[in-house]
Amino acid sequence: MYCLWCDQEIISSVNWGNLMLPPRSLTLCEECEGKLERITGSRCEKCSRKSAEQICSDCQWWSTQKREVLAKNHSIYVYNAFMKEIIAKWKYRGDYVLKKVFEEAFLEAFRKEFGKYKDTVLVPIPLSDARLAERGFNQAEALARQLPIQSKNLLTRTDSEKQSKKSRKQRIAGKNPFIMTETLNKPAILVDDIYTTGTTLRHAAELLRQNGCPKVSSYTLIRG
Amino acid sequence: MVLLLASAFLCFFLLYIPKIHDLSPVFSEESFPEQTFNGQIIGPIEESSSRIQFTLKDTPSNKTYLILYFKNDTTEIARYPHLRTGATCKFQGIPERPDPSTNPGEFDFRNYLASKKITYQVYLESLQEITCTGQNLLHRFYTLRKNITTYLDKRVSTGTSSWMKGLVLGDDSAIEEETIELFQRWSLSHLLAISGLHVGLFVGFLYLVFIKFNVLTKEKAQWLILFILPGYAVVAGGEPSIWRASMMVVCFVILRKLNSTFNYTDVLSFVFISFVILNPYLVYQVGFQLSFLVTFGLLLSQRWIATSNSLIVQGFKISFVAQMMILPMLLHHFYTFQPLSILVNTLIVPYFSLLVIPSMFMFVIVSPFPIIQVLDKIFLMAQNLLLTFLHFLDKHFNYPWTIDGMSIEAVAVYYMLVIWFMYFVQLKHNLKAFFSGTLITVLISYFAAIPYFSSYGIITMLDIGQGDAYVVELPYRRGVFLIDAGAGVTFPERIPTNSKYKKIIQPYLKSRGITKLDAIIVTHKDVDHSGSVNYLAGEYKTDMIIVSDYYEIEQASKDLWAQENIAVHHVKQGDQINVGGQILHVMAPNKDKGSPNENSIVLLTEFGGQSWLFTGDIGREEEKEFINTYEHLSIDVLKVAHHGSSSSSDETFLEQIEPAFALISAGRNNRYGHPTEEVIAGLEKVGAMILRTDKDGAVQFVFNREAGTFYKFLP
Repeated sequence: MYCLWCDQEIISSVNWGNLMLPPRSLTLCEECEGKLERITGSRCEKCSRKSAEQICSDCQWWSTQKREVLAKNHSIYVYNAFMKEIIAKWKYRGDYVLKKVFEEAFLEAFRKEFGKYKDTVLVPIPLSDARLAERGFNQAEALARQLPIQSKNLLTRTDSEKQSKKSRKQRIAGKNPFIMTETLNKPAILVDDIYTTGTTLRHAAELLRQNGCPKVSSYTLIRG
Repeated sequence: MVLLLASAFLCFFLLYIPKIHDLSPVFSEESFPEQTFNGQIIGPIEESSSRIQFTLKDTPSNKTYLILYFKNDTTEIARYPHLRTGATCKFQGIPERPDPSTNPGEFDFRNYLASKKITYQVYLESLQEITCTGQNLLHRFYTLRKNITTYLDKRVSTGTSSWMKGLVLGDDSAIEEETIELFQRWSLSHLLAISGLHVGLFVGFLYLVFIKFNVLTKEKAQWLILFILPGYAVVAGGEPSIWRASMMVVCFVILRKLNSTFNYTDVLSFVFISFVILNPYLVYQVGFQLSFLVTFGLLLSQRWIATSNSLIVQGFKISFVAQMMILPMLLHHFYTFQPLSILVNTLIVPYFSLLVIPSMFMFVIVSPFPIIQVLDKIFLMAQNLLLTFLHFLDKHFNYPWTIDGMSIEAVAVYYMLVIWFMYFVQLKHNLKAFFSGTLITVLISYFAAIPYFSSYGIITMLDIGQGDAYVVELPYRRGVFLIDAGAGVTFPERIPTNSKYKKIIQPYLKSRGITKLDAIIVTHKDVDHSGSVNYLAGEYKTDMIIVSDYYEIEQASKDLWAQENIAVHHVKQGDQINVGGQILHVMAPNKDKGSPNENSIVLLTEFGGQSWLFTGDIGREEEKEFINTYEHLSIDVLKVAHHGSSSSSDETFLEQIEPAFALISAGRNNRYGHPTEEVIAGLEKVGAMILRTDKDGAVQFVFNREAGTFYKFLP
């Protein structure tokens, strides 16, 4: 086994956690694995951001805006420098296989956090056609496909400007870029790679709620 | 596939590792004829104040022998320049079987030697009768070790040199026995065994010198270490722990050189398997077992230990894992476990590894310079402080668990629980970890509590040679008491020694988990009956000591007993002694006979529905008085008076009391000829079954309310 990031051979150390278990296939070596930072300790109940407060100031602000459409967001990793590199290589330079790095953690945390949500539909955040053609795959779809419940592409995207090139103000003030192709009357979990300001997810959530969806949460790999 | 491989490995090891218990007669009457030995000296020549010993591999028979030479006295300066490791030697001698243990709990020298592949020993009359030629490379290493030892003795005080020798050369023979026992009680002995810690420091130090001072390139320094480490292992005593540590380093260096990747547990397994294949007997050595278990546990815990940033917490975790890993071994070999030792280790281990051990290595290097005198004094002061602290702990916080080992099934369950426990601990599932931790505690507590739930009592006639020591453990641990606790004496000075106590009485009490004595009954004042009483009184919480009205207690004992808050009772004929509900009737003495033997306390009691008579060392006259006073008394079990001497066991006495069993405690081949043929004949005539320590070793009577059975320790 070789590390998907640094290409060194992976030597799995034996510890109390895996002594009696069959060997797992690993995607990262211990050193690279160690550079990924999980969100641990106290976090914002609403958006998963590392925070000493129960509800972070960001979410407090969101709750002052019209009505809150997103019930909650859950994320796994902190957006540190190493994660930025991985995401860049995966998303922008098309190293599709890197999704495996998060596969296990993404599934495990989903079971723990959303396991009891039966009869819920996953809705990946779509890319615009131009973006999809450029990248070759939709990272949100790739993530959603790893999860055990059904996923429906209910949304399409009209604009093609990259969110990551905009400022916070521009993002929040921007108009809703999504169109809904089908209605849904079940609870939905939006899936995306990263929660930055929460605007994109709220745009999608708003649309879903307007079209009969009773509750919308979101599950993202990273809390930016 | 994995299971198949695992069972194949298991089978291989089960078949490969030889059993060391042999079934040959324990003490055979016949001795072996004198024979010629011709072979090579393997291992170092070891010299102590009383003897010189080495092992020799006899070429014709391909057997290994332990060769011993006892000095005539401690002042004898032995000359043996011809005895060198690797030399080929020739001599005449009589092979003997080494002594097995004859008491429960006693160290078994025969098994110990067997674990080193030695089944016979040979005593040399003089060192000159053996002719040797040649030597090998090992001899140079052993000579180096010896020369460093002698040099250190010259340069620094005895106190400091004993620690330097212990921590750098792995020779703890000069460290005071009291200190070694103190370290043992607090599970600190691993500091005295050269292991990973020392090897790590040694390698680190070499690296520093070679690389920081630009003596060698990194590459060359690594090669050099490859060659130096095995040498250091030999010079530092060659115990399994140091070989384990240095071989692991050697493997790491080689793997690095080959550009191979590896994980630590694989290297440990590889070293383990190679050791066992090279010398299967190693698995029986305590040091080998502890070293590998602790290392394995610590490697598995690396990740868990690294999750804490505080050095103190890390130290605590290390001590904790180490103790958890070896607990069943500690109970099996030493019968005790000190829960508080985990905390003590957390304190002492960093002190040793960061200060003491590095300074010991440094002292060796600076020993030629005058500054060593100053360092010597500072070190002694620090070390005294440490020992004072440990003695303080030992006095006020000494709460060991004493358990006579766990059954093999329980050990398996224990390790399963530990793995389970550590799994949850590592994953931080605190509740589940707490639950499995509780199960571990319950398991251990069960073994600690067994004696308190047992409806069986045990009376043990310990084999302390020529002398008496009976330990009575009542059912449900209602009471534990001794009738006599003799000691050996030196010849010809006849000074009492603590060896019987240390080697036989104390290990037995430990093995039974006894920490408190309800009473010690001393029948009379002779050393072979009373010599170990004060050792017991000093170490065990003792409620009372019972002696006869005519027993004169010397001042030293009086002071000690008063200091330890022990009540002293004097008894005479007609009195009753009650220990934990067990009533003992005092049948004698009723007047002062003017000599200790004749003034012996005679006790009548009942165990397991049998009447027992303990007679101390009374003579024929007292026996006659006994049958005159108690005319119709018959006895089931008689402790034969005076080790079976003809001055006791009068025919009329034996005929009247008609014992079914006769217990005789006499030394093997004792100089008095006890028990005499006359006494044996008398006992046989009345149909008594004779149980004697010189033939049977310790004899135990296991009883409940109605009945009991005798067991001999030796088959």
